[in-house]
Amino acid sequence: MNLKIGHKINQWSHHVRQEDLNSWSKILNDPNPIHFDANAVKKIGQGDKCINQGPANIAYLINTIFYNFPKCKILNIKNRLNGNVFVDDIVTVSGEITNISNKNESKIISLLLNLSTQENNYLVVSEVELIQ
Amino acid sequence: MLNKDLINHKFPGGSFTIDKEINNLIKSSTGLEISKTTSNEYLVHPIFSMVALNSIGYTLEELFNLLNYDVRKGPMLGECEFNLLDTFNLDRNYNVNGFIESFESKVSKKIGNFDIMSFKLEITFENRIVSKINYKWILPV
Repeated sequence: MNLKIGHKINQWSHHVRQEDLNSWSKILNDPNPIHFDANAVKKIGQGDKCINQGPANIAYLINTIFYNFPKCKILNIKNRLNGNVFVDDIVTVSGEITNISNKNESKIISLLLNLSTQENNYLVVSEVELIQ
Repeated sequence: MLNKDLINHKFPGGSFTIDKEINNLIKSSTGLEISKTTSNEYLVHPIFSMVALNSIGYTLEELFNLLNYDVRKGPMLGECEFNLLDTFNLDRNYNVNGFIESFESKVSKKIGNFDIMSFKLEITFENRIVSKINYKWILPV
């Protein structure tokens, strides 16, 4: 990869399926029905599709980091959550390198990542620092 | 009325162990190959920094009850930052501790009056910090 400030990293995408949400309800021990019952989502006025779990959205960002920097070690991630991802959404994570510095034999790379869907942009914005 | 006297309240704490089955479930449900990532190393997913929220000694529902906050108002995770000081490994027992750091009252055009609750968690293995996590939850009034 071309390690330059401003370089856009390779995008990463995932189709969010109901079975994924069911898995995350199990992983998080989360009984909230908005993740498996569309009627529960309607009741709170957030649309008519089940809402993806926030940690799953953050996991997509992490997957994007490893997709682009497979041998890196993540040091820090600051995630701002601005909206919901719903079942059947196609999630795409894009981003760019915002800073590079040297530490001993390694490089510290800063990234700004944006998680979007076919409907909305900047649903999660993350500032990342990794070492490789 | 939100119980803001709980600043510095320590969570009971707890622990968790990452087994291969749950790690593979995270990978498969987020579109990662189970056997490997794009490197040849088996990855224990760093998202366990957030999954650790299961192990603070309260469920979220219990935490909101403690705060005297009605979850029907729709609490939302606003920010989550984690510092990873080490990688997670399979079959290790990690301890989780944390406390409520602050409450801040705000107003927005979108959701009106709300409070921001900040709390901090630490995940440790054999007294060494593996991850530090800062949460900010948006609590509509």
